Amino acid sequence: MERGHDAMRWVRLAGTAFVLVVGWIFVAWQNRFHITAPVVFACIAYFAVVMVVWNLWRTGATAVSADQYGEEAWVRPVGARDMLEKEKRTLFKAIREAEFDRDMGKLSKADAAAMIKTYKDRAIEVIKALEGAERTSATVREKIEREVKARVQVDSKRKGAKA
Amino acid sequence: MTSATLGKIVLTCAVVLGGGGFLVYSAFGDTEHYRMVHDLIHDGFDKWHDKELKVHGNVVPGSIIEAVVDQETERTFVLEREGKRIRVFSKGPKPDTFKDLADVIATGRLAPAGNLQATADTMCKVKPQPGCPVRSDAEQTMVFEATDLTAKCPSKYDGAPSIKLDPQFH
Amino acid sequence: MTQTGAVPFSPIALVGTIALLSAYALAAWCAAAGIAGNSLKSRRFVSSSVYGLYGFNALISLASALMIYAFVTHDFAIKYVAETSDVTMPTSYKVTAFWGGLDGSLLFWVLVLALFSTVAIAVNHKRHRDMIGYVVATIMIVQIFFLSLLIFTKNPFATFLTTPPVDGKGLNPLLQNYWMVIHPPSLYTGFVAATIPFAFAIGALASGRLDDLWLGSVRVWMLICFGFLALGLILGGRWAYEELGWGGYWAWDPVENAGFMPWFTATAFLHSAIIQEQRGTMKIWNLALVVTTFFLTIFGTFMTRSGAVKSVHAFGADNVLAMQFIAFLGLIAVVSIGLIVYRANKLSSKAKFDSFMSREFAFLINNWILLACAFFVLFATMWPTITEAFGSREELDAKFFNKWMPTLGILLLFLAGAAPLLAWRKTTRERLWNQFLIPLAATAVTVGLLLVVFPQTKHLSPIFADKVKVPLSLIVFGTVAFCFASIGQEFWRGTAVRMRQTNGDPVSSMLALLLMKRRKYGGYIVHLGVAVLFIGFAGKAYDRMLDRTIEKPGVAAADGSGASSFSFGDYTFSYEKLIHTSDDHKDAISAQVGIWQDGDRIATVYPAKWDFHKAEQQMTTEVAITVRPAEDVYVVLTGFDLDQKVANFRVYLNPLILWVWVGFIILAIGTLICLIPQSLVDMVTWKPKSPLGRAVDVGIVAGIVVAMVLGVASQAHAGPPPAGAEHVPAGMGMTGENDGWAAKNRPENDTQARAMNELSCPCGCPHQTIYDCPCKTAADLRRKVMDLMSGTDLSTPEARQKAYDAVLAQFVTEYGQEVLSTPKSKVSWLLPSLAVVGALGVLVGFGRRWIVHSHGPAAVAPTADSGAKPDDDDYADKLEDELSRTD
Repeated sequence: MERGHDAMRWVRLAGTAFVLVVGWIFVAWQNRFHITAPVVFACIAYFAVVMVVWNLWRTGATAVSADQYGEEAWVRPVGARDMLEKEKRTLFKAIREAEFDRDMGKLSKADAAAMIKTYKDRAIEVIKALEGAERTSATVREKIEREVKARVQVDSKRKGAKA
Repeated sequence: MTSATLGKIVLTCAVVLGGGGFLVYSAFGDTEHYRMVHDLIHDGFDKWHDKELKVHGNVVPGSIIEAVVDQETERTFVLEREGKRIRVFSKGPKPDTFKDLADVIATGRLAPAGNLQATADTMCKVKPQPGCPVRSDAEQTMVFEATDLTAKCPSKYDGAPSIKLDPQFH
Repeated sequence: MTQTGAVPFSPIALVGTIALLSAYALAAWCAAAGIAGNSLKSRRFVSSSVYGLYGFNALISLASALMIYAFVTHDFAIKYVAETSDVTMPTSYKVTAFWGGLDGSLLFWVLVLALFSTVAIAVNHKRHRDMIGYVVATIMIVQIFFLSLLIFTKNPFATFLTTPPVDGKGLNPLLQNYWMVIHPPSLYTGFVAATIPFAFAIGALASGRLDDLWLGSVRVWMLICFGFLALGLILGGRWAYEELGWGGYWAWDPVENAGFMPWFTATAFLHSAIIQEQRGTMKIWNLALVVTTFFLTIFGTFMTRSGAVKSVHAFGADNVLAMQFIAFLGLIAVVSIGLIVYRANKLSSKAKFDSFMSREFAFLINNWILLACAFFVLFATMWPTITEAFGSREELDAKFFNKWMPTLGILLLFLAGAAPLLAWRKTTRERLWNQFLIPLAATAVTVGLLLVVFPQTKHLSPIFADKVKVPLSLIVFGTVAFCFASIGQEFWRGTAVRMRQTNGDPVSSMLALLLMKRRKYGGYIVHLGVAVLFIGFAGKAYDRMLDRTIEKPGVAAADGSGASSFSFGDYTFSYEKLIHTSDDHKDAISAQVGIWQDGDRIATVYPAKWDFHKAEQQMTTEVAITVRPAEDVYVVLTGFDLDQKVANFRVYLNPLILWVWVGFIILAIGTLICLIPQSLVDMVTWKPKSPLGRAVDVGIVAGIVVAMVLGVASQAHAGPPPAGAEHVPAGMGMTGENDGWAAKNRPENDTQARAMNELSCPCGCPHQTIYDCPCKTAADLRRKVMDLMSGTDLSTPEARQKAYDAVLAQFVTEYGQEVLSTPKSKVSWLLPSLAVVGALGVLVGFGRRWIVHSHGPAAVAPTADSGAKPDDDDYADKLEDELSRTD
């Protein structure tokens, strides 16, 4: 969002809040500042009126405004990538659950290992597929950054293992 | 479709249908049979003598006899609908609107009139009152032994113009 | 403001009606814009529909505020106000009269849905932007349906065409009860909450975004729906128990069943949604459950409101309403089934179960049983209507339900204990024994002990048919023990695993476990609550009832015996007095009954009957409940004769009923734990501990545990109010003379009225100020206020404030701080609730301190057998790295 939009937004919000507070003070003053049930509900009703006006205005204004920005970025197509990400998350959860079940004594070590292995094998396939998808889409710069990051990570891990 | 899948489907259907069928069957067996007094007399006592019944009629004016026997309120009265009658025995509390001509639904079972003659005699002995003595065995072969009385009073909302009690409120 | 002319005119009614009509038009716009926006991928239309929904909420809030304003200002030109309230009612009941009748309750329904949808849309519209238009449209179409009922047939703002009455008819006395103030809103809220998941399901189907993203949003709302339905049902039960006087809390009445059916399907969904998350299957099933839950809420409303099913709650057949509902139900069914079929290829997933000994299989069975429950209740509730269509109308009573439902309930309870013991996919067979040993042993020990110590548990009850009899309650107790042991074992072993992983202390580890896996362990707590509920249900088999007619009140001997006494169970009851009092609203006839146990007087109770002047013919029964550790002693005055002083009593001994309320509170706590949002837990960081920090932690943990326990204990205590206290009639002991005290010594000016409204009445009327209270004491105190103010200068606001303060100060000096009406009862309600909520808040807030990400070496799985191919090594590392960030 642009700055101009933000500024206008704050002006509008402040204006609304001002109208609201003035109205409330008026209602209270009318009742000599005795806060009774009718006064409370009159104030709520007034608040609702302000909200009605504010939101009806927004409803109308948005509907007739030109679609200016981000129309295509706004609607995301369901891609193969999303499905892979989802599958990866599900697999990770499954691995964690299996480990927990093993530690809780519901699975024998052998069963757990077999189960986790199938999950991990599939997870590696998914990660590979995800990277493949990224490689085809990413810019050169991004690719380099990712490569460097991965190497640093692997490196530090090896060092950690040695130590 | 493999035969295993088919087998599963058949099994599921069988369980669902079997359970449902048994449910319907048991529902029929369990229904509380609701009869107006004249329907009951018309059907004959044999048809209903061992079943839980709800009998609906109006209290015959002057027929209510009530007495406290050993800290228990016993009463007997006659229900009538379309000229047919049956004597009812009950114990314990009664609805607030229970009185002559009240529209009453009695829940209970039929019993041979002779079995309750003694109860009627005790009531009249403890508290002699108009209507005594009662000869239940001379009236009909069966009387109705109620476990619960409900007065079907004119619904309290029938009078109100448009507002009904919100059903969500019980 | 309304009595100025002969033709009644109410500006409130006018503005209210305009607000409803505008809301109607706006809803139509939102629905159209939402559908257009998402189908044409036009951002502005979608945004417009979202803002429109906020505006709709504002309009409905306006209408509702006006409605309540009309109630509190006695605008009797409006029919609805005149028919459900009167001038003398306390303000709190005037506010709640808003939903006391059909017309207002429809408006309340629309209001709650508007508020909920505003929250749901505000939270989710960025996350689900390519389906939010459809979601808004679905919600708005539901709103249009209810609004059209409201505007065209049941307008709550309708005014009288002739001169309006001077005073209203008053609220039905049965509804003037504090449980009634909270029960209907919570049940409505549960019903309404089912609309939100439905709208998201339709949105997902219509947009084709059928990945699991929508499931997360839906699950939360389904949980809210589940929680509020349970709350509504239990409060309804509590109300029936206290107010209807038949000794029980649940009678399988159609209205209760209407709330129960969607609860079953919502529960089923909460379980099967986990399968979809864990295994990625059951997509169609879950969508079907969401749709079914919503369908059942609307169907339940239809069933009870249109006269399709007759209930004890009198309301007549309404064919127009019935047709409208049937059309709407048809629309829901056609659209949902159509969309599911249309998207079937995207939804299909290979539902493959590896083993019967797996958690998902247990969940599947649980789903089947829950659905069976829902459809059984539906079937049995509709039975009279079904049979009527084929000839004679046949009623089914509670006995029929009680033959079927306990069996299904026990199966569910068993699964609630067994499923947590199973692993996902499959449980190693050799390990089954290890998992089930302790729970099964607990069951055996419990059953054995009960048989020896309480032989009456052998009591046989029929299941399915009259002739099949089993020791039902013994089975229930055994299953409850199984459930307790298995959940306890889960917590125990889970904590042990956590301790090994993080080298933490037991308490921190358990709390961390509860927070990190809060949906699982919160769910276990819900299971525990259900098990406790079942203890209460099992008590039903042993309740006993006795009717006694006592011809004269009398004084009992020291041990309770005497001519006016009777014994029942371990208790002796003595009828001591019949008291007749009356105030502006009602005549109250109370019997004073002393209760003895083992020769000691344990309580004095006042069962009563109230005869409201505005509702003749309809006496309300005021039950006296004495809560003993093992059972409730429930005394009802079933009849009386004022001249002869004869009184009829009915006494129920209800064993274990306390556990029904306690179980529910545990269930509520579990539900709240499940609802702790991820964002709060995301604040989690790992911090190395100093000994001091550890000590502080232990202190905090202890504090939280104490707070939770206190909260639960005081809630449990707040559940059953002290017997008698609430039912002691105003002006007890003063007979005859005290008619019309409410009208005496009325304030002469606003300042006096204000002071009277601030002073609470000491004579026993609950939550009343001396301004409202109809007893003599209140009238005297009002006189006192007026005397104190007489001669004071009241001409300026400052002087008035001064006089007001002076009066209050005087009262505080004389009677103490508690005369000021911040009613104690409110505080006592608030306190336990705050304790529970606060404890949860603290748990979350400080939880981050204990939660340690599983970076520890123990958590990393053995890598020996993963990454078989050498060139996969890098990926294996990567996998481990990403995995370590998963919980």
